[in-house]
Amino acid sequence: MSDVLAEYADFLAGVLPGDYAERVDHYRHDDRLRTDFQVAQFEAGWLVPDWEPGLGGRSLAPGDALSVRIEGARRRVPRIHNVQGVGVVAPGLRRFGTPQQRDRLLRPVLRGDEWWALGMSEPGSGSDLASMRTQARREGADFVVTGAKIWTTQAHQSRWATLYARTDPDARRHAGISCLILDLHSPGVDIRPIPRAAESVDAFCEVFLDEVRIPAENLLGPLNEGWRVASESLEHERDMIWVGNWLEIEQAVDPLLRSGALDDEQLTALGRLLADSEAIRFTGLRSVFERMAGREAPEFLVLKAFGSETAQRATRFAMEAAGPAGLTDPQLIEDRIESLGATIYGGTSEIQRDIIGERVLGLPRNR
Amino acid sequence: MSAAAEERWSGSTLDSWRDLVLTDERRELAETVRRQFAGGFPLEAVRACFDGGSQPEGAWTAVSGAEYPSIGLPESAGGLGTLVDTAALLEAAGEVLVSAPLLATVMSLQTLARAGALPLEPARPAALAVADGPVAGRLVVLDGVLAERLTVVVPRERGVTVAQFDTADLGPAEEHRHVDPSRPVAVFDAGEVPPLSHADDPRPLDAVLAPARTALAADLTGTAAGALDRAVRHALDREQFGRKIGAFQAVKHRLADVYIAVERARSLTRAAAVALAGPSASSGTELSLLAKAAASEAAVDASRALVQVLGAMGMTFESDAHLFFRRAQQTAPFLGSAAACYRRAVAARRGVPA
Repeated sequence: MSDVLAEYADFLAGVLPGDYAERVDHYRHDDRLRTDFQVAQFEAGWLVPDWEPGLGGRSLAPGDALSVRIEGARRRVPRIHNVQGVGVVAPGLRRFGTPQQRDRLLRPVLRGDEWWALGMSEPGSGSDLASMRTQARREGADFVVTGAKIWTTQAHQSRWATLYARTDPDARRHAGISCLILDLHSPGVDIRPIPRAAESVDAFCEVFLDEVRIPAENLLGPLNEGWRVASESLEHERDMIWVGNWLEIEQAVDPLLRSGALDDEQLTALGRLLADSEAIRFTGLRSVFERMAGREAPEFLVLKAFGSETAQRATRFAMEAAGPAGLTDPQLIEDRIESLGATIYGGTSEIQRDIIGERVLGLPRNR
Repeated sequence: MSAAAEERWSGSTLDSWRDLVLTDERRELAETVRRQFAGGFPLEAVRACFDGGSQPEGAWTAVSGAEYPSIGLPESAGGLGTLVDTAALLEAAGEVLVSAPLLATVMSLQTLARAGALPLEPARPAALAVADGPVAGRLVVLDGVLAERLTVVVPRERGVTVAQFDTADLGPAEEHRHVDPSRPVAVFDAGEVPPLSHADDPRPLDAVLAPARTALAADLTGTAAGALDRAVRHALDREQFGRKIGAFQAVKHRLADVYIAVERARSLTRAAAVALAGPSASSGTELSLLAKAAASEAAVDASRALVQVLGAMGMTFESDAHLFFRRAQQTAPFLGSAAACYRRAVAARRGVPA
C-alpha cells in the first residue's frame, strides 16, 4: 500500500467507529456521523485531497487523489450529505469566486456547515436547460429575480443556491444566462418540497422567486457567462463520479456472487453485470490516464448513461434473484427505485446518447 | 473480503493499470498495421476471397515478414513487447479485416507460451483448438486452412494438456468457407495422431486460455470499431426527408449504443491484457472471459447495426457490411459463446471450477 493510502487508512481508523466496517449498513443512515466525518475530512485535508491545505486538501497529485477516492468508496466511508455543495458549488466558487465570495463561502460549504442547492431546471426547462426563463434585471445595486425552479435538490435544507437566470433578455439560448449566489432566506423565496416516490430519492423542491433582490456582488463569474460557470463547475467531479457508480454496482452484485441458488440464465446475467461493472472501472481509469497525459478522452462520455443503466440492471437483477422473499426487505425496493432516478438526473440517458452521437461520433444535431 | 477481492478493489494498485491507455509506441504500431493492411489488402481483397476461394496471395507473407506474430512472445523465443502490444496489434488488424491467419497464429503461440516448455515457431502459420473431451478428436478450427501447426488444449481432470501437432500429420482438413472465406474454418481429426510436443499445465482451462481469449477479444473489438466507423460515415452521408440520417435520434442512439458496446469491449480487453502482462495476473482469467464475451457481442451488434443503417445497400455483395458481419459471425463462437464466457467469469470470481 502506498504511503498516501496508509496515511488515509490511519485517518479513517481514528475518526470512524471501531465497528464501522461490520455495521456499515447501519451507519449509512447515521446523519450525525456523516456530518462529523465531513468536518474531520475537511480539517485533515482528505475531503478534496487534490486541493491546497486550508481548503480541505493536501495538494495531492490527481492520481493519488483518485486512489484516495477509490479507497474511500471501497471502505464505504460515510457519504457527504449535501453532495452538490462539495462536488459542484465549491469548485465553482474556487474557480470563479471573488476573494470576498471565497472567504465568506468556501469554508462553510466544504465543512457542510452551509448547504447549497443548484437552481437550474425549471418547470418548462428540463433536458432543454438553455430554454430557461427566470429573469434577473439590474436595479441599482441589486439584481431583481422573478421565476421558478424545480427539482432543486435539498433546497429546503440549504442556505444558498447557485441560481441561473437570464440577465440579457435579448440574447439567445446559452448566451445571456448568469449565475447568481442566492441567499435562500431572502424575502420573496418560496420553497416547497415535492413528495418523493421513495425515501431513498434525494429530497427535491420547487423554488418560486417573486421579485427577489440579490446584491450585485453575488454575481458568480462574468455577467452573461453562467453557462460556462455551470459546465466548468461540473468538471471537477467529472473524473470521479464513476467511482461511486462502480461501487454501487459491486455492492448490488456482491451478495449474489456468494449466493449458490442461481440458474444458468441468472449466472449469465450476473456475468454480464460483472463485465459492465469492470468496464465502468476501466473506462473511468482510461479517461483519467488519458487526461493526465494531456489527451482528450471521448470514451468518458459513455459513463453517465452506461453507469446509470448498469446500476438499474443491477438492482433489477437483485430483486428478481430474491424472488418473493425479497419483498420482505425494504432496502431492495428503496435501492431499486433510487436507481431509476440515475438515468434522469444530471442529463437523461436520451440526452447522453445525443451527446455521444454528436460530440464523439460527429453526427449532426437533431434539433 | 478475500485477498483477490481486496486487490480488485484497492486503489493502491492504480499505477499498475497505466497501460490501459496506449503509449505513443503502441499508437504507432496500431497505425502502421492499419495503414499496411488497408493499403496492401483493402476490403476488395477480402471480397475477392468469395471468388478465389482462398486468402489473398502475400497476406501471410506480409504478416510474417513484419514479424507480427512475435509481438508479445517471450524474449527467449525471439519475441518482443507484451500481451498489451499484442492486443493493440490485433485490434488494428481486426478493424481492417486482415485476411491472413494472424489472429489464429497468435492464439496458438500465446497458448504454447502460456503452457511453457514448448517450441515456438512464429514464422509458421498456426491455429488453436480446444478439445471437447479427454481425446483431441474432431476439431473445428478458426482460420486453420493455412495452418502448419495446430495447438490443441485438452482438458484433464486437473489442469490441461497442451499439445502441438504438425498439420501435415493430420491428413487433409475439411475446409468451410461459406461464412467468411477471408477467415475460413478447417476441421481436423487429431484422433490417434501423436503430437510433435506436449506439456501438462496444472492450471484450470480458463487460466491457460486467458491470453488466447484476450487476443480473440482484441480482434473482435477491432471488427466492431471498424463496423461502427463505416456506419457513422454512412449516417453522415446519406440524406432522407431532407436531412442526414445521422441527425435522427433513432439512428443516432443506435450508433451511440454501438459506441458504448465498443468501448466496453475495448476497456475489458485492454484490462485483461494489462492484467495478464503484469502483476495483477490473478484477475486476468476473469477479465479475459469478460473481454471475450463483451467483444463478441460488440462485433455482432456493430456489424448488424451497420447492415441496418445501410438499408437495402447493406444486403448487397458490394457493400462492406456483410464482410464485417460475416467476420463477426465467424469469429465470435470460438473459445466459448458470450453466455458461456459470462458464466465462467462468475465461476472465476467465485473461485470455483466452471
